[in-house]
Amino acid sequence: MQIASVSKPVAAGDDRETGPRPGQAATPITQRLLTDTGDAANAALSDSAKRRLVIGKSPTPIVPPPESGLETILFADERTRIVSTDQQPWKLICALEIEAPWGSFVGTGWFAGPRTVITAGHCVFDKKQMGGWADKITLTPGRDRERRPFKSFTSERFSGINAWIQRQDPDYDIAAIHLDEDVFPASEVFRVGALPDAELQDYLINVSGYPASPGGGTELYWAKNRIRAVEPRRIYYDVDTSGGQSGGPAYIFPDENSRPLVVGIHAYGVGGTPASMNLRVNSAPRIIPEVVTQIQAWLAGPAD
Amino acid sequence: MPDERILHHGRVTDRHGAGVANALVYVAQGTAGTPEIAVKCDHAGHFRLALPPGHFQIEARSVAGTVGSTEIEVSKGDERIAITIDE
Repeated sequence: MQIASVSKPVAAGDDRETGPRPGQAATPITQRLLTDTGDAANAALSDSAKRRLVIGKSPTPIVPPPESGLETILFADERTRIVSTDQQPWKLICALEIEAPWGSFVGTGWFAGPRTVITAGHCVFDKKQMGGWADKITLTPGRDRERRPFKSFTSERFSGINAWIQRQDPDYDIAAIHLDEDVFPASEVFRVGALPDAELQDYLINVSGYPASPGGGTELYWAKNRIRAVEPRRIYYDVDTSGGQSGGPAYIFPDENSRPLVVGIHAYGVGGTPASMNLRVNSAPRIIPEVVTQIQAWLAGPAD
Repeated sequence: MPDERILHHGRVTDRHGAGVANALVYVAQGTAGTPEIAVKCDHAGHFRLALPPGHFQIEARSVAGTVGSTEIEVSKGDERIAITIDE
C-alpha cells in the first residue's frame, strides 16, 4: 500500500488522488520501523517525569475498564496537569492556536524533528469544519498558561496524507507543521514507530495534550493506561482525553533508557470506537510503516 | 468510511443572553466519532461545529473557566446549538 503527502498549496491545488483507496483491505503490520533508534542519552527524563510516566508493558489495565457508556472522560478524570513543561518530554508537546477560513480552533502537536511538528490531519485541513486548509497556526512548545519557555512559532506551511486531505479517512488523520527554524536538537525529539500487533499489545501508554477543559488550551495534561486493542490502522486505549487534545502524542517507553516512542496520534474520543468492539475507549490513528516513511520524508525537507 | 459530518451553527451566551467571546466549544460525549478539536467562539459567542448524525453532549468553556453544556440530537439538517454558561 502507498500513501502520499499533500502539502498546503501555495497556488493551484493538486487534486489527483493516489494512495489507499476506499474499502482497500488493511494489511496486518508485520514490520517494525522506527524513525531512529537513538537512546535517551541526550533526552534524559527528570526524576519527576520518571515518577509519572509509564514504562514497558502490563497484563492488566491501571484502572478498571468501564463497563459501558459513551464518555470521552472515562469514570473520574484521571488527567494530571503538568507544570514542569520545560523538561523532557513535556517540552516537546505544543499548544496549537489554529486560524482557518471558518474560525479559530485549539489543538495539540509534538516535535518529531528539529523543525517539524506532527499533529492530527484535521488540525491543518478540514473541509467540513475549518473550510479547508488552516491559514496559520501558532504553536507554543511547553506552554503553561502564559509561560512560554521556548517562545511561540507561527507557520503557514502544512502537509497531510492524501487519504485524509481527499476523503477525510480517519485512519490517516495525520499531518505535519513545518517551521522555518530548528527548535530542539534531533537527539531530543520524539521518535515515531510502527510496531507489529504482538509487540504493541499491552504496552502502557502515555497521552498528553492541551484540552479546552480544563485549562482553556493553555495547560498541558497527561494521563496513562494500557493499550486495550490494536487494529491494522488504529490503536485503542482507556485514557482520559477531551476536545483540544487532537494531535497529541500517544507514546510508549520500551524501557527506562529509551526515548519516548510515538505509536499513535490522538484524534478521537470513544464515539469513534466501532460498536462491534464493545469497548469504551479512545483511539488514535496508528503509526504504520508507511506513516513512518512519510514522517521521515517530512523531516528530511521543507514542504514546497 | 464516508465523512457524514455537516456543519451546525451555535452560540454561547451568559445568563443574561449576551454572547461569550472566545469560549471554547467541544464534544464531551457522543454516539459517533468526532475529532477532538476545540472550536473558539467569535467575539459575539457564535461558533460552527461539524457533527455526524448521532446524539451529543456539547460543552463550552469560558475564558474564566466556567463550563456550560447542552445535548442535541443530530440528523441530516443544520441544528442550532445554544449553550448557556452561568456566569
